[in-house]
Amino acid sequence: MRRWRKRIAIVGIGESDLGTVPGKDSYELSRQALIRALDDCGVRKSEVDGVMTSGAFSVLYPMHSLLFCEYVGLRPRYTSVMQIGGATHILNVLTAANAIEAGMCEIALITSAESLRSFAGFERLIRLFGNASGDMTAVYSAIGHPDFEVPFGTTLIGQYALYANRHMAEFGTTHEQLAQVAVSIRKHASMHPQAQKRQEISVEDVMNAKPIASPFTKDECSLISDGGAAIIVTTFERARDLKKKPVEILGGGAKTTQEHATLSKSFTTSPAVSAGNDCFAMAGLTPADVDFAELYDCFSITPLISLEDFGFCKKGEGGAFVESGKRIEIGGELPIVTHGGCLSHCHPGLPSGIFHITEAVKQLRCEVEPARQVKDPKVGLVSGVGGIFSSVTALLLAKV
Amino acid sequence: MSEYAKPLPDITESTKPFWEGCKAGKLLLPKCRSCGQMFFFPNHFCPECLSEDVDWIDSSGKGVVHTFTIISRPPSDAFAADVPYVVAVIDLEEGPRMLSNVIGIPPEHVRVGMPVEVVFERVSEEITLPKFRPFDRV
Ligand SMILES: [Zn+2]
Repeated sequence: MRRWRKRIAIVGIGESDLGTVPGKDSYELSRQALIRALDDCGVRKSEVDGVMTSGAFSVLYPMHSLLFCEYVGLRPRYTSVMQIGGATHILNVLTAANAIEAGMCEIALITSAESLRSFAGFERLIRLFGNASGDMTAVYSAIGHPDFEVPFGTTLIGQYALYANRHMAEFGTTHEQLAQVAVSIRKHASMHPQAQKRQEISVEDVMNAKPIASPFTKDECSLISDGGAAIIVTTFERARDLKKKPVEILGGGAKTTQEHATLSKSFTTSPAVSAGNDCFAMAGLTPADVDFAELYDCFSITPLISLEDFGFCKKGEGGAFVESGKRIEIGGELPIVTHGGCLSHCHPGLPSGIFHITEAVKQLRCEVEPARQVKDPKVGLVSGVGGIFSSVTALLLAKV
Repeated sequence: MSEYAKPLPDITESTKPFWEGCKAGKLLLPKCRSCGQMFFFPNHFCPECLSEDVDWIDSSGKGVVHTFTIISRPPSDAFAADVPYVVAVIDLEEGPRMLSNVIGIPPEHVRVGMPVEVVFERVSEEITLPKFRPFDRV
């Protein structure tokens, strides 16, 4: 893979209200994020000619991006819907870059929002499609093969726990080390005014919290939130007269290996190895060049395995890397999930990974609260994970 | 038989031999005659070479726990009475991996690498689920 001939950047970001946002459905949350993203960079709505969305289960509609464009009066040349779970938004950013490179659009909007906590719009869906359960979290946790996994009582959380237990058995990773991941991420969230959970926790707190699927307790599992974000991508050329300095997209990578956990060839190594190799090769960088990593963190095991797979430490040494939290917290050698991630900041389901991107942009612009600002960051890695470590996407972003 | 409230698999033309096998107390695994690969999930074609020349092998029903988890929060009310229970990925002797429950042992005694053998649990007229219990190699 080679980098785009045009230099391409993220120039604008916007987040909707986050956490518990009753009464705003996916389209409305995305509209709010869009207005903030346009305001962030100074692009006019009429200039947006590419739109990449993620769909939304809360307002399930077969042509999501078309309906969103109609809702906010966008008339793009290029539009698409991508749905590979938490890996979606990075691939949408890469799709935007590819479309811009090919001349199919010049200013692309990536957006995703969901009302996973308040279910705004979901009642209408139940009426329309006759889903009797009325519980949207059930839609999200329905991941699992209907014939060969679901009848045995699997859960989405339990499927990630399969990775955690195998990693522990194979490499001696401890539950305390996994718990530390949640503790460090919460520490970052405690410094973030918009984070949903800001109360600091200890390793003991995590260990003693309600068991969900061993080894995970409640604190090691994603939140349930409302929210969304919007990202604007364009060329350096077009970025010249915009409000903020561009954040360059140096490289991207993606890899899919399976959907269902049962078919995973490895329960200790993820598609991040391949996605990371491609991403670093495209950027011409190595893990040593990365100042911070917004690693996808649906469960405590996810960033730990990602650290190994992206090459920040050797396979099996993820536990030692996160132990004590010093190396992965602000001020450490590789701060991870600086906003609090899916575990503490915001997890509205499909959109969850988009905040890892907006946070990386904020960090590189040095726009976050001083306490959680990475010192003089030049390069940040962002990752997204879809399914059960099924699909991984990676992005390297840089301050210009 | 009392009403079984948990989700049941659908029997399709592609998976019928597998479920028929379970009903008869056999763990039949699909094997591709074209490339020799054994595979899972059961299907009417080989996912590696896409051949539809599929044979069904009567497996030993033995394997080891590759990994597992103890579920404390069930996916639905139907499983509420079962918690805590074990969901495990089993490496079958013949090669394929399958997901099932490990039963007949306290959940906290289940270990990665533990030898297990299949047991069949009849849950409806049509469906018998393959589950696993510890197996002592002599
Ligand atoms: Zn074959």
